[in-house]
Amino acid sequence: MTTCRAVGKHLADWAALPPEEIPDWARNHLATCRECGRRLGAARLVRVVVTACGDAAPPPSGFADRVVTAVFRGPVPGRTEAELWRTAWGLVPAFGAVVVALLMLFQFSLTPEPTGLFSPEGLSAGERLVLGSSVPETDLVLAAVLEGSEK
Amino acid sequence: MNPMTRPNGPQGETDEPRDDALVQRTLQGDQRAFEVLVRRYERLVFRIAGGFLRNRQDVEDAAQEAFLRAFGALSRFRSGASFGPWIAQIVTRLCYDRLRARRGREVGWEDLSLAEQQEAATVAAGAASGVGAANRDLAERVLTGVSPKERQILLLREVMGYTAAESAKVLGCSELAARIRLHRARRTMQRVAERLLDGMDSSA
Repeated sequence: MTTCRAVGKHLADWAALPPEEIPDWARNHLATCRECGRRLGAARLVRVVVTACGDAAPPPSGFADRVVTAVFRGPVPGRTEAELWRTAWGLVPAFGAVVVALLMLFQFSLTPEPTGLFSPEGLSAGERLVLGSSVPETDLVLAAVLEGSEK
Repeated sequence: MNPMTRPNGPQGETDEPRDDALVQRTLQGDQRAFEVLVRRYERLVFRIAGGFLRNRQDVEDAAQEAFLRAFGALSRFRSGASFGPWIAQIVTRLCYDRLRARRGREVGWEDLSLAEQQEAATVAAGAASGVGAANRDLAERVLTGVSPKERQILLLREVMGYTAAESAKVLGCSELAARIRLHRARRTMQRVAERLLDGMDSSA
């Protein structure tokens, strides 16, 4: 079991080696242990599969020309257009701030200005509102009387 | 050489124009600038597409579509960035979508042709085998048992030689997620290969 574990640690490395280069102790074990032999065989297959994946054929001659011809059939995506969009998106926070400011102003304009009058709704239980007016000044009363007599 | 850091890219100190300068010129309508970009990265694109798709025509179609998509999205290309990882991302996603649409079932030993069975037996026994057409066919058959997501990471890490960070960038995931995905993909591949060889043993 310990040998199986020791072999298992090196399987990926040994998968790249020809059998004769695998250490003797491991080779002896692999010859008798079916499970380890199976795992090494699979590791070799995996290695070949991965290597084969990287074995891609080079691009055919004239590929770049074909791509460029296909690409430039349509309009070129201009940087100016992109920049316009970027600028537009950059202005979004500023626009938002203006909208918020306007909403706040509008909100304040809807609130009635203070009239200077005391609201009876503000009274708590037991409180009374005494209505009264200040006494007009004597000079003003006289002036009004004299003004009236002149007419 | 890792295509992410190839000398022709913006990191290199050659006289060749940088990728972002070429993109800028393309956006101004310079056809030649885009041609330089295509020539610079066509091998990378074909290598990725070739790792995903077996059929030569499919590979070429995917490569062409990748460049067309890149061109369409050129205005979104980040200034100062390298075109390589960007086009790698585009072609990887494109091939992933194609594979997902046509994913087949896992192959068994009896599904292999006689030539593929012989090839698989030779490889498993450790007898030297070059990468030939039979190997590529066998690879394609074995890979049908691997999910497109696992295939993506296997290709990027094992074939293209990308680091975990570079793969994560192409796949749009975290580095840790890329590592986990690779671990799972390796395990799946090993399991698929083991099951295939089990079929060889039982038929012997």
